[in-house]
Amino acid sequence: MENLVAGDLTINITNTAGILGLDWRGKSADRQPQIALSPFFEQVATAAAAQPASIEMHFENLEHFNSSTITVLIQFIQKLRQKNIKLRIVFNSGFKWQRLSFDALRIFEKPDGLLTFGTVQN
Amino acid sequence: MGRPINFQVAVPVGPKWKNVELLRSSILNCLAAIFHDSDVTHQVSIVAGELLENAVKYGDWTSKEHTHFDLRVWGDAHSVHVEVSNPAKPDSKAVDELFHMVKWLEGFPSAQDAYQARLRQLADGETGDTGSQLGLARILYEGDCVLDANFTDGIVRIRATVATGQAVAA
Repeated sequence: MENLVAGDLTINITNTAGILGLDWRGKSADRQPQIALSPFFEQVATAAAAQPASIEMHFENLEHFNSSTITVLIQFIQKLRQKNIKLRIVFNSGFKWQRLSFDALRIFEKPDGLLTFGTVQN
Repeated sequence: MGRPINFQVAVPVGPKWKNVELLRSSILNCLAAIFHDSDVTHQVSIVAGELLENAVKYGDWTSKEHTHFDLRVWGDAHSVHVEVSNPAKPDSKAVDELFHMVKWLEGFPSAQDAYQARLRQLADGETGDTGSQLGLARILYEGDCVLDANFTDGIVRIRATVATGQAVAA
């Protein structure tokens, strides 16, 4: 799989020890972010199911994302749950905007452990 | 005691998508020069970004009379106001949905409750053909702002007021 570069957004992929890492950098402010993100996420989900691997998305280096990107992210979370693929979301709790954005997504955490959150602070 | 803070930025903007990020990041940088608190500057820039996106998406750009929308940002040491005004057709779907959404958001005990309710609707595919309309819920929650929306003489005007708390002037 190749990294995603779409406008001001880059998502770098790493693949180690059963974990597909997606490192978000820059800004995701496209009017229709699903055009770039949805096919990319489809590839990631397919690769994770095939290996098998869990997915770890890192947002610590993301500068900004719009609500349309959050919508695409929610759809991805739902899709991974349907496919029984584990997703861990890591964000920088030192940034208030990241803390608010991702803490709100904790409503999708369930006892099945398929979605978990981690924080770093720098 | 330092010099009192009082600032205002007002710009007419063409409804091009690229202008949203140009202005959002400009507001972010402008406020960073005024306030020490990067949380406050991000908070206001998110509010501005979502309101600008809505103006471009839902404004009526079919008329030759209205080719721009207006962004105003002003404030002092205690609060920042972000106001976006764009043309809209009376009785249009965009205007109806805007005020329906504002009323829906007001029905929750907190902004977080409203935002998370919208997230659940999106996850469950319950938003129909109205689009995500997550932006207004997001700015209420992440922007921690007071929202005022009105429609007069073919112009939708949305103002968000963000309390800056103890942010110290830079």
